[in-house]
Amino acid sequence: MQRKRERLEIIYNILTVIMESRNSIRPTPLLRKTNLSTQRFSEYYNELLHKGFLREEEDRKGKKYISLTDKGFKYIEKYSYIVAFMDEFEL
Amino acid sequence: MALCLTIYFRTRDLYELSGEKSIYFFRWTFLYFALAYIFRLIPSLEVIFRTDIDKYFPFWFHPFGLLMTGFFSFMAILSLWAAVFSSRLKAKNSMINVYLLAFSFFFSVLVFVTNSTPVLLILQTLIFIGTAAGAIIIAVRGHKSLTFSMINYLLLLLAWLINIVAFSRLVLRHDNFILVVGVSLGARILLYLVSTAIFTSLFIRIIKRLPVNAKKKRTA
Repeated sequence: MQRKRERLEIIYNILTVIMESRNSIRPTPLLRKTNLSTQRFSEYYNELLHKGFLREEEDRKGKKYISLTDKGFKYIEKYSYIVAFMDEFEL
Repeated sequence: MALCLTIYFRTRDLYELSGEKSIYFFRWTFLYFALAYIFRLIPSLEVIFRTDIDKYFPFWFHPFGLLMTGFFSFMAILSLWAAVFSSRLKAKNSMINVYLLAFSFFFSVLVFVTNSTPVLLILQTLIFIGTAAGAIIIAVRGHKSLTFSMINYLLLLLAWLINIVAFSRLVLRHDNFILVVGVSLGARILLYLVSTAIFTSLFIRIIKRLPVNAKKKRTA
């Protein structure tokens, strides 16, 4: 249960950091603000990208920025319900 | 049936967002129960309306219906196992599904070959006893009492078993002598109400926890 909660919480933290950065942040500051190791960060980052929670955008200078998709915002909105549901039914 | 389908469809968002194995199997438990109830419905009509429905269906329908009821109910029960013990299962969802399918297929073929509802009842009662014993052992080892959710899951399995008992008839044949053993109509209605009440109470608990309803409750 603890491990599951931890995973959901890390995802929530990553998404919240992006949202609080006006939904646009470069990968390096994101890594720093999430306090994760590079390896763990890239695991979560790739998962979130693959599942459509995040999208990568490039500015005119070719710099990469990360922003949330609608699904990412939806996760933040429903995070507390997901955790409460799993606690309630011991999933 | 409707309650099970509602749970399956309304928890879709939770799974899609969380990607959690436990929620995945939890949802599928209810879809499988709904499918099991669909195939259970036709023999039940026979018992309810006291008519021989076999004349309206081809001869293979009854064993086929039993095969499907058995298969989907085994899938439901095993999926519930997978949901509750998902933290101990390291395999991927697809691999766990292969195991569940294999076990369910094996058990349901056994029921199909014997063409007997009591065999289905005995096998599922054994699973129920095993689950209950396992839950109690885990609770005793952890010096805890059985949790509310665990009691709910055991009641859910019990509700399904009650449902099978309520709509089953045991036909004993010996030479020209045929004995049909079944539950009386009054007892059947009572068992059916108990089974429905258990499903409904779990349904209400689940629905209350879903985002839309939880939000309504908070803003009220």
